[in-house]
Amino acid sequence: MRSISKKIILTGSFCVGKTSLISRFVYQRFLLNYQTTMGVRIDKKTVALGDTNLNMIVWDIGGEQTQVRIPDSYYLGSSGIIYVFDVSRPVGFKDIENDIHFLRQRLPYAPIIVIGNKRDLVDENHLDEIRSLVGIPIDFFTSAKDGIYVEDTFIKLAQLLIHEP
Amino acid sequence: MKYATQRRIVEAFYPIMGKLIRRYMHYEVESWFNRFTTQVESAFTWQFWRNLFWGGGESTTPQLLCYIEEVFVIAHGSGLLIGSYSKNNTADMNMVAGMLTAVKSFMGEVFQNKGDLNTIDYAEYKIFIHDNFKYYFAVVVAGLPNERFKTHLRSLIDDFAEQEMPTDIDTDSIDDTMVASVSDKLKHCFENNEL
Repeated sequence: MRSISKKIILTGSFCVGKTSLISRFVYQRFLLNYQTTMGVRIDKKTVALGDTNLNMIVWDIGGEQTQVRIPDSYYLGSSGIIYVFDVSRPVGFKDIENDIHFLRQRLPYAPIIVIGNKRDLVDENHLDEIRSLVGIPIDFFTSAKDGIYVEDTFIKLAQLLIHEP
Repeated sequence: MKYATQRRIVEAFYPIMGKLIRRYMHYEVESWFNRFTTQVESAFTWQFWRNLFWGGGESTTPQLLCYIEEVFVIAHGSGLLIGSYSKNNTADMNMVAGMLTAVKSFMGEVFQNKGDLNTIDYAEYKIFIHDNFKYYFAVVVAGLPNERFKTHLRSLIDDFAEQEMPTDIDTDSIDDTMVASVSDKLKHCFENNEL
């Protein structure tokens, strides 16, 4: 079984739950106390897919109002991106399209997974409305608190990174 | 009452004072050791007399009070680990490699890449950073490295990069085979090398 490492970045505005998603995915726990990520935090999780062990080196980038304010060098060498927004904060929806456009310019060949986090805070019937408000395809609506679709998010990215269907 | 207050103050300040004193001592010993080594190297040593009468021979500068704890070879940008050597295997090398790269990148951004981060000091450790084209070395040294040690280290790293490192490194080519191969070579080089 071969083993490869890939850098992936988890990005999005502040307080959307990026660190909680990683905590759920890597350590299977939910952080009750909110602590702002200063700069960057790095975690690792190995995912077995077919005959490959993929070491996902996850860069949890401290949230900024827009992606433009994040140091360019943090994007260097990234193979994949998870972009997170908060479904319970409609005021942030307007920035999503610009952020994704910015990320595509920075990393044209890296797959991007877009997720709306904190689905436990909104009515399930409201999700379709959010989808239409955001204006770009959303891969998953996740809940770091309940663990819904968190694993699926990372596995989907892992599959894209090693080109597995 | 007065005694109890004094004791509380001492308890509160003790850890801070301890750290300050330790740092001060470390700095002073390091300065003294560098001065001492310089003086010894320039004085009438056994080496001097041996060279004078017989020529050649090894330097007799005293053995240095430091040793290499860990060596990392890390891809620029991605921060992916290409190989590592550790005396104690204390942390996940991949995460350390990532964090070192983040720190290095951040410093580059702050100072608009007008220079390179060459050394990080942490407690009794020094991390020497040595850049190559697609990757960099980070060498964690415990103790009191002097100029001679640093020169030897640089030369050892240059030799390693030239003779042992693969030339076809990119983000997609770093797999466990490459990491194992480079790590073995690092172990062989740094475990058996008295700097």
